[in-house]
Amino acid sequence: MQVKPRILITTQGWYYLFVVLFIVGGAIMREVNMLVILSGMLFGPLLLHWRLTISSLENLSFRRKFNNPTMAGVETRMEILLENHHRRWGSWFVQVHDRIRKVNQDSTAAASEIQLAVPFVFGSSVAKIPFTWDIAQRGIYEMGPLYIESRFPFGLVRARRTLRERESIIVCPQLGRLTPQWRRVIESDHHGLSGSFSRQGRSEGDYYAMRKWRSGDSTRWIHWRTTARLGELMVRQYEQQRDRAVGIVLDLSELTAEIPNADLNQQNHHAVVIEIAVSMVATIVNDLCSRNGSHFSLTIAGTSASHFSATPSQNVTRAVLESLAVVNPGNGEALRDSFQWLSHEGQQGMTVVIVSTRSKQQAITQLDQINNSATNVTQQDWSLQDALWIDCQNHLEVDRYFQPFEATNTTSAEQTPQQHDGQGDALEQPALSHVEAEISLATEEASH
Amino acid sequence: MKVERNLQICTAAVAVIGSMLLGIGERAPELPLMMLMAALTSVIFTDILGWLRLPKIIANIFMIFIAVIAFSDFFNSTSQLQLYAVANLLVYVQIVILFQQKTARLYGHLAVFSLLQVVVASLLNVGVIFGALLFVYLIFAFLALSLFNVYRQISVMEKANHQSILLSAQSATTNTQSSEWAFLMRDRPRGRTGIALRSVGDQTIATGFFRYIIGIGMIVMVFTMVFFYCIPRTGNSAWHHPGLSSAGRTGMTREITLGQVGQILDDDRLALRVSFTDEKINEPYEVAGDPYLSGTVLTRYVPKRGSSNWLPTGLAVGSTALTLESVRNIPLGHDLVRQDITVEVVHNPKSVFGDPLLPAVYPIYAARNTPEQVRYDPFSRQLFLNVGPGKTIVDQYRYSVVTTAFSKQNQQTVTPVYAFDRRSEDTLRRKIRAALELPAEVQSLTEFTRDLLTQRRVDTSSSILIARDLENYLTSQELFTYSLSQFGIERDLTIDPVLDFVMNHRTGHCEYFASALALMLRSQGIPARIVIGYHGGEYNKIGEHFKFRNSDAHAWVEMFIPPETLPALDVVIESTGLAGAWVLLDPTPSRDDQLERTLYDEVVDSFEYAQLLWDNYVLTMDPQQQEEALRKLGINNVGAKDLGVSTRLLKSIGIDFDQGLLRSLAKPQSLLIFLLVISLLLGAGRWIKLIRWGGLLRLTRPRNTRLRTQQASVMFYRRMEKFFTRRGQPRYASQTQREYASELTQWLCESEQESDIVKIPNQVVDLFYAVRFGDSDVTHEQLLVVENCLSSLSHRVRKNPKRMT
Repeated sequence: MQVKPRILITTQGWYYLFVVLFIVGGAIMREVNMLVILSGMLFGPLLLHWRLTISSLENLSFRRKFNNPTMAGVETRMEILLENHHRRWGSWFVQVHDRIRKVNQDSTAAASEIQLAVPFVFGSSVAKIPFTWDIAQRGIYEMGPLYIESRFPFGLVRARRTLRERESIIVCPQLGRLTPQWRRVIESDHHGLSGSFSRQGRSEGDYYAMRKWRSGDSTRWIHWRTTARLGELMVRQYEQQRDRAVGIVLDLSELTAEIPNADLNQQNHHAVVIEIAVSMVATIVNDLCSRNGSHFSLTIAGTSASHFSATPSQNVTRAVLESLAVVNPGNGEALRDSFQWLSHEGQQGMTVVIVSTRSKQQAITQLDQINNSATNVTQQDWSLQDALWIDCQNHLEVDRYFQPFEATNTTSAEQTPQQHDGQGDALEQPALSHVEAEISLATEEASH
Repeated sequence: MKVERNLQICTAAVAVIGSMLLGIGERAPELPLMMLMAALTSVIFTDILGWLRLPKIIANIFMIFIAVIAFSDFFNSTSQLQLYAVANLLVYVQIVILFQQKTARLYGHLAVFSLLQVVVASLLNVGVIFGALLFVYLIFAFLALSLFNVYRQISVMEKANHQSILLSAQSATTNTQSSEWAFLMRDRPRGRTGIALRSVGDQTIATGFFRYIIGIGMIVMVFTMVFFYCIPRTGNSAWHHPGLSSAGRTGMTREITLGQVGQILDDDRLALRVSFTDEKINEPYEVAGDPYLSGTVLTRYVPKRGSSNWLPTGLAVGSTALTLESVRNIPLGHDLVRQDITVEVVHNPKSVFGDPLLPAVYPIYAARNTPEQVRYDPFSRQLFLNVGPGKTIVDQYRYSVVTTAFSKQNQQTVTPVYAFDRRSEDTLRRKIRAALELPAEVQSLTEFTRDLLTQRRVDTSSSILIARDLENYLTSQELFTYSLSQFGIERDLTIDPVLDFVMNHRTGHCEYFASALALMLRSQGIPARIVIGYHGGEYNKIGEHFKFRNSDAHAWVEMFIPPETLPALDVVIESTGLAGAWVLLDPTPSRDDQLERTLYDEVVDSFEYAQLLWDNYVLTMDPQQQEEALRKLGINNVGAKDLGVSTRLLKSIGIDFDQGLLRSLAKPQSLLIFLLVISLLLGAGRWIKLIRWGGLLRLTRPRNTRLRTQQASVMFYRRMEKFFTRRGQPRYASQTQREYASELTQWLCESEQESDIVKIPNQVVDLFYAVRFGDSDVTHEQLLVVENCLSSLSHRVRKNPKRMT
C-alpha cells in the first residue's frame, strides 16, 4: 500500500524558517517596507516548495521489479519503476531508498540500504531506475520498506511516500565450478560402479535450450547466429536420455553435534563449511541438469531430511535450488533417513556421492550410536563403503572436485534509466550457468 | 560534476550581487568591485583550476583578523556606520570563504552570510535599482539553493551507499577469518546503483532546470507583491533609512540668513515630486511653465550687525494648526487641480518648528485623500506634517491637496484673499501690518527706491506699476549678477546686507533679490513678504510629473494689493468677501538653460518614473496607501480611514497591534481564529480536489492530447511523432510504431518527397525500437544521425510547406 506523502521540514528548512521568521517578525514589527519585500521573497519559496514537493510525489506510483528466485554470487538486477500519472507535471530529482535483509530462523540480520535517484519523471511516463544487489549468501531475503523522497527544489521540505509491503526473494546457493576430477568420477566406472551412457552429440536427442559455451564443448554445437547476437559463444543443448544414475546426499550437521563447546571461530569456520557443502551440491545438480538427462536422486539431511528423485527438468531444478536455499544444518541424525530413502528410492548401480560437513568416520560413529549398525543402511546395490564421501571440512578434498566462484567478478553496466510506458518484461539476468538461465525462463514474471 | 561547477558559479554570482546591493546602499562602489574580482578569481583559480585553496587554519586567521577590524569600526561609530561595519564584515568573510575548497558546510555559510548581507542592504537601500537587482539576486539565490540541494543530496546518498558497502564488507570479515571462501559468509548484500548518482545530478540540471527555477522566481515575485500589500501595517515605522537621511541636505529652509560669506551648494538630490490632476475628470493636468511651490512665508526682517534674517511670523507652528478646509468656491475660469506630492522629508528636530514642511502650490484646500497628519497654519501659511510626540519619523511622505491656482494650464500670479468673518479680517490685517514693517537699518532704502522710481519715470500712484518696475529693475542682468557664491565680493559690513546688495556689489542669489524687492516695496508702503519654496523643476513626460531637486529651492516675493487695485491686473475674481490679493513677483534673473530633449532624457525620465512608483507604492507604503491600493483593486468600504485594511481585519478578529502582537495573539479568540485560518489553509488543497477540474480541463484540451499520452517517451521519437501529428498524420492507438513509420513512408512518397526524406521515419523507428524494446543505449553518433534526420525534416518542411501540408 502506497501511503500519501508525508511532509517534514528538513534541518536546513528549520534554519531557513528561523531566519525567515526573524526577518518577517522584524519586517512586521518595525514596518520597514524593504524588509517586508525581503520577507515575502523568503517566505514565498517555502510555501511554494511545500506545495511543489507534495505534488511531485503524489502523482507517482512506484514498485520494484525483479526476478525471483535469484542466485547468490551473481549481481541481482532490479529496477524501481516510477510511474507518473499526471498528464504534464513532471517530478524532479526523486530519490529512492530501498533495503534488503536476510531473514534468519531466529532473527533477522542487519539490513543493507541503497539510495538511488532519478533526474526527472516526465508526465504520463515511467522511469526505470536500475540497480543491483550483490548477495553472497543463500536464503530468503526481505526487501523493503521502499520509499521515494523528494526535497526538490530547495531542500527545505522533505516529502516521502512509503511502500509498506515487504517482498521476499529467494536466493539460491552460489554456484561454483566442478573440476575435471569430478567429471571423471561421474563419467567413468569409478569405484566399481556400473553405468553406461551414450555419447552426447548433435543428433542424439531433442533440442533443449541454449547455453554458454564451456570448455570441452564441441565446436559443432555452437549456434553462430545467437553467438553473433549476444557477443559470446553459445551452444545448443540437447535433451538426452542417459542411463547413468547419480545419488547425492547432502549431510549438514551443526557444529554443536560434534564439538559441544565450540568457540566463535570454530562456529564461523563451520558455517563456511556448510555453505561450501550446499554450494557444491547446488553446482552438482546444476551440472547434471546441464550436461544430460541422467536420473538423479538427491536427499538433503538438514534439520530434517528432504528428498528429490527425478529426471532433471526446469521445475525440479528450481525446486532443488529453492530447497537448498533455505536448508539449515541439523543434529546429524537425519542422515540415517536420507540413507534409508536412498536405499529405497535410488536406482540400481547409481553413483552415490555424499557431500558432508563432517568426516565419514564421524558420521558412521553417530549413526552407529543410533542404529548400532551403519552398514545396515546400504541396500540396493550401493554401499557406504563404495560411495564417494566428500568431507567439506577438508579443503583439499573439496578443491579436488569443486572451486567456488568469486562473488565480485560481475559488473553491471551503468546506464541511463530508460523511460517507457506500460508494464515491463522480466529482467534479463546475466546468466552464468544453465540453471540461472532456466530460472530466468521459468520466472518470467515481475514480482509486484 | 556539472552540478558542483554550476553551484560554484551561482554562489559566486550571489555573493557579487549581494555586494552590489550593499554597495548601492552604502554608495561605495569599491565593495562590489572587490567582490567581483574575488569571485572571478576564486571561481577560476580555486574552483576550476584548484591552484589557490586557503587552508582552513589560514582562512580562520583571516576571519579573526577581519572580525577584529570590523568590531573596532563597530564600537567607534555612529549607528549608521555600525551597520556599514557589519555589512563590510559580511563581505570580507565571504571573500575568504570563496577562496577555500568548498564543502557543503561552506556553501551553507556563504548562503547565510549572503542572506544577512541582503537584509542589511534592504535597510540601507531606497532606490528602484535595488528592487530590480533584488529580483536578479532572488533568481540566482534560488538557483544556488536548488543546486546546493542536488549537490548535497547526491553527496549524502553517495556517502550512504559507500557506508553500506563498507558495512557489507565488514560483515564478511567479522563473520569469518580471512579465507578464500570468506565471501560466502557476507550476510549483508551489497547494493550498486545502475546509474552513477553524479550523472543523475548532471541530468537533473540538463532538463529545463534553469527554466523551472526562473519560473519559481516569477511565482515568488507575485507572492511577494500580494504579501507586501496584505501584510498588516500600523504606520508606526521605526526605521529611518540612512539613504534618505536629511543630513547634509541643502535647499529649502525655514528662514533666510543674509550677509554670510559662503556658497550655497548645488545639491542635486531629489526634494519632491508633484503630479497635477484635474480633480473633476481625474485626468492628468498639463501645466504650462514652471510651477511655484510654496513652502513657507517669511514676513519678519531682523537686521543684525553684518547680517540679517528673514523669519516667519512669531506664531509657533501648531498653535494655530488647522485641518485643511475643503474648497468653497472656485474663482471663475480657474480649475480645481489636485497635487499629489511625494516629498523627501527633511527633519530638523532641534528647530522649534520641528514638524516637516510640505510644499504645495497655493492656495490649497483639502482633497478627498488628504491625510489627517497634514496640517495647515493659515497665519504663517505653512503646510506641515504633524508628526506629533512619540510618533516615528518617516523618510518620504506622500500627500494630496487641491488648488485653484491654475487657469488654462497656467499658474496664476494673483492669489485672492477672502475675509468672510471678523476673525479672518483681523488675521489679514495682522499679516499686512507685518508685511509693512521696515526696520530702521534699511530705512535708507526708501529714498533710494524713490529716486530710482523717479529716475525710471514710474507712476508711483500704482502699486502694481511700482512692483513691476522694481521687479524688472532687479531682473536686469546688466545691473545685477546672479551668483550662488558670496566669495570674492567686496562687501560693506557696516550696512545691511540687502542695502549692500542693492547699492554696492549687486551680486547674489534668489534670497538677495527677493529680499531687496520685498524691502524696496515695503519702503514704498506696499505690503510685501518673502516666500520660500521650489520653482523650476523638471517635467517627466513619461511619469507626467514634475521633479524638484534641492537646487530648485527658490525665494520670491508676494505683495499685497487691496481689492480696488485688482481690476488693474485684468483678472476675473469673485468679489464677494474679497479682501485683497497677494501677487507673486519673482525678481531673480532667470537662467535660460532650456535644452533639446534627447533619448538619454527619455531614459532618465523612464527611470525617474519607475523610481516614483517604487517610492509611492513600495518604499513609503503605509496603511493609507495600502488602503488606496486595495481600493483600486475594488476593495472599498473597509472601515475607519486611519488604519490599513489588513490591520482593521485583524482588529475585527481581536488582534490589535496597538496592544502588542504577542499580547493580542495570546487571546483565546485570536488563537482560535488563527488556528482556524491555518487549518482552512492547510485543508484548501482537499477542497480544491473536490472540484472536478478534470471536466473543465477536458473542454479545453487539444484534440491530439490523447494521442500524446499514448506516445512512447523516447524523446527523439516523440519529436518525430509530434512533427507528423501537427501535419495531420497522427499515430492511432491501434498502430505500432513500425506500422506508423510505414504509413508515414507511404504518405511521404505520395507527397513526392525526396528519397532521403522518405527513409527518415523508418530510421527513427529502428533506433526507437532498439532503445525502447531492445533495452540498448543510444550512442552519441546514433543520436547525431537522428537529430540530423529530424532537423532535415523540419528544414525541408520550411522549404516545401505546401507539399508537406
